[in-house]
Amino acid sequence: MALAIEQPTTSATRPARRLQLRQLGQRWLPWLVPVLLIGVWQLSATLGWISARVLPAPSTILQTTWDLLLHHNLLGDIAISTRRALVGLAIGGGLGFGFGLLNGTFAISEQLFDSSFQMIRNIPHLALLPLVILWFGIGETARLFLVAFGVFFPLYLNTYHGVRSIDPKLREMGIVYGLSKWGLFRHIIFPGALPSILVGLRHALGVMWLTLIVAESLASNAGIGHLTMNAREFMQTDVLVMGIVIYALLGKLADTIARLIERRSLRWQVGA
Amino acid sequence: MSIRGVELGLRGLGKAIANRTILHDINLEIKPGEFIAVIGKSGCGKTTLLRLIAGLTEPTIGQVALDDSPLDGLNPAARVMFQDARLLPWKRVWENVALGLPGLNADQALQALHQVGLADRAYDWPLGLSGGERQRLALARAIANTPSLLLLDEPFGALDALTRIEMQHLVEQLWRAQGFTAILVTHDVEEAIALADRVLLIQNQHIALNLPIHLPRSRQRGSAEFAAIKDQLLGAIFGAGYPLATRVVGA
Ligand SMILES: Nc1ncnc2c1ncn2[C@@H]1O[C@H](COP(=O)(O)OP(=O)(O)OP(=O)(O)O)[C@@H](O)[C@H]1O
Ligand SMILES: [Mg+2]
Repeated sequence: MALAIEQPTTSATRPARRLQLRQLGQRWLPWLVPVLLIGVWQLSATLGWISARVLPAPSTILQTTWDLLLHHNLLGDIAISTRRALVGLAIGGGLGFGFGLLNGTFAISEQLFDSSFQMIRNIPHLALLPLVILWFGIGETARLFLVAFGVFFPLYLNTYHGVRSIDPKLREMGIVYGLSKWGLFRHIIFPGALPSILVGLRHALGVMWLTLIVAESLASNAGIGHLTMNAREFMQTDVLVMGIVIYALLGKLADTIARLIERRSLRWQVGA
Repeated sequence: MSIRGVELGLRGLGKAIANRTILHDINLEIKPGEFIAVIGKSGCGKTTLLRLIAGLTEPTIGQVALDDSPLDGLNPAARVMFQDARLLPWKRVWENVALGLPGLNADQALQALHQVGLADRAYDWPLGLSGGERQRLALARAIANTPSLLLLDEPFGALDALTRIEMQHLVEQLWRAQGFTAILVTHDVEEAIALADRVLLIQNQHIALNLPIHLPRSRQRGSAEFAAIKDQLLGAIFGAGYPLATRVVGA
């Protein structure tokens, strides 16, 4: 850009315009295929090529969403699902983070817990579903337990690994420079492990939504899963598709937030 | 405002690691504010000696005395400058300096950065610094709270010749200004002679040579006295064969 501006205007117009076009292309080109697909979908639905039973038109889904927002407290359902996800994340993720720190720092706690965690980790947590229902019934506890169980491991493993991979020489430096235990943690161990912890967090967010979807569609009296379950019973395909899209958007939103946190707290890595 | 350096006594000091004697019966008195250089072949135990003085490892036998009281655990007077700078990449330059200061004092950190000529990089990240600047930063961190004992473990080994000479001047200047006791481990014999009041040679687990250097500061490396001391040290390191070997090469 700066180069183009410094050139005399007559010869500059053409390269500058080409540059602008290229930037425009880079920004918008990735959207072309999705927009085309939605267009084709809309067209096929309008022309009756696809039955509304199978896949309603995008416009119908938008209309439905609007209706639900206005008359059926869709936002409330979204809030309930989000709350479940976050509470599960806070419990399971908090425990994973705590144990990761403990086992990364203290040999005793590592010997005591790590191999057990490594064994339990191999259980696909969704396979616990029947057992969890048996234990807790089909209430809120079961759903939270499942989410917490699922997000525990990504955070545990990555925190543990992050703490363990800190250069012992840095720790020794901290000791020589008179840092207290808390100082060592605050200035060296936590920031050193943070990149790994954030990787764990992003992974955990993925697991969180996935688990929630399964847990909610099993049995819920509120939330997105409850909506879609009812929709299936009454064969409201439009509501079903809307539910799926909302799950996707929530997942995307969580990931974007995590990535923003990552970019902000790891600025030192680019050295700028 | 010259701060008094600490007085150090190494009394019958010995260290064995995994049943192998590294250092044996080290005896040495170091006056407050004295500048000691330690040389010796790789693996002879120079770093081990420094770690003993810093209180990072326990002696197997004997003791380190600090102003005549025996050292127990970490040496509170000592600041160490390691061969690798050991900077925290996630802290800005000034925060790295402030690490060892009570209350993470920013003014004091900037002051130290100013002393090593790095004040204009105070708010940058360490990953953006050159090798020489990284060691400068490590030096600023080491001197920031005016320690009474500075331990330097081959701090300039990885620097190019020009930067190294620059850093040597800087250390000498800071040592004169602050008056701390300094122990510099180096593999560079000229560096040792240029900076130290006394050069120690470690060989066969003990101090094989304890050579005071009486040359006036700042020392001219080209002078005949300088060359004579260098010859004497190299002769002690390589034994009787050393002058002969150089003559053969020179012929
Ligand atoms: N933690 C350890 N475990 C086993 N051996 C060790 C340990 N620390 C040091 N040593 C051994 O002690 C000897 C002296 O090591 P030291 O690091 O003090 O040597 P150095 O004189 O500093 O060598 P260099 O000039 O290469 O840095 C070496 O043979 C080394 O292998
Ligand atoms: Mg060494």
